[in-house]
Amino acid sequence: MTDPAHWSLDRDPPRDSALAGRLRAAGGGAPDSEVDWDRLQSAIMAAAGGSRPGVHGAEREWWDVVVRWRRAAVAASVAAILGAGGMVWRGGPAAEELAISEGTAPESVALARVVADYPDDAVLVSFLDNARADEFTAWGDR
Amino acid sequence: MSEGAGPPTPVAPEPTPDAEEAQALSRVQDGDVEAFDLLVRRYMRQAYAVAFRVLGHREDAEDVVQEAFLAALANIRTFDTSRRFGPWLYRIVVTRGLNFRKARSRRTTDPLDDAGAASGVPGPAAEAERDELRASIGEALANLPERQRMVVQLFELDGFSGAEIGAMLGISPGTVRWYLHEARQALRGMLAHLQESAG
Repeated sequence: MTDPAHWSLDRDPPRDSALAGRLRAAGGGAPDSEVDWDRLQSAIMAAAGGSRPGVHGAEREWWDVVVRWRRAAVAASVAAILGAGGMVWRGGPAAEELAISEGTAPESVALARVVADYPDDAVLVSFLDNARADEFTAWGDR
Repeated sequence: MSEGAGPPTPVAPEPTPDAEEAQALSRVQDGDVEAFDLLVRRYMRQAYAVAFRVLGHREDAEDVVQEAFLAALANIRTFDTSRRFGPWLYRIVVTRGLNFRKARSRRTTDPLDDAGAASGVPGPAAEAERDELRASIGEALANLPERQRMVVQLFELDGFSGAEIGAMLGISPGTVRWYLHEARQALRGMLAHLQESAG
């Protein structure tokens, strides 16, 4: 081991390799081989992401969250607009399919023409308020 | 690290951070948490060694390392980026470790037993000899005052310099060297019988 007299307050003494060897051989070293460093690093960074300081060291503010999610929000908006446009485009042909055909029975054509003059909700209310099976039957038999 | 013979030292005693570290510190201070990763990778192992010296328990040491990094991040804007991050972090580790130890004082820890578990599996004779050596050194270390024990382990085993240890423990480098001198003397005295039996 190092000469006991060889030391100074002004500078570090040489390392005592013999003493270090004994301490290490006796298991005095930190058991760093047992540590999963990748897992520890990931845990620290995951926790760090959840406690990000603000510009002035404060906790995260709502605008930080907005900024973080802005790309996702833009993408979702574009997708929603495209989806709505697609639905409108597909709605056109469906309306045409519901158009009155000349081949339909005369009573149905007459009813359809009357109904077409009123808003859809008014027609629906009328049917729900007044329609009974006997009335439909009587009207149909006329 | 200091000059002299012995194992290579893991931490360089640079008074200022290198360019990579300075840039990472600056980015973290501007709110870029991803840049913190470089500091974690660079100082994680040394921080763990310090925590283990304080706590003597592997899992507790890992917990304290994580806590210390998060505490450093939370206070990063108060840090002077012209200085190295490591010594500041180690000081946080020591403080947190001491608090952690107080909070869990009911838990019994034996650093040498825990550390010994990391070793390989020797034969019966070698194991008996090793057990005797471990017991002797464990007893010798346990008889040291805590600061002397930490100083000698941090210096001889973990490769920290006197200045670095002083910064961690909040004492002057000269005091660290005095503790180191005292610890070495005490260990030599207590382990003399091992040298005689070996000779």
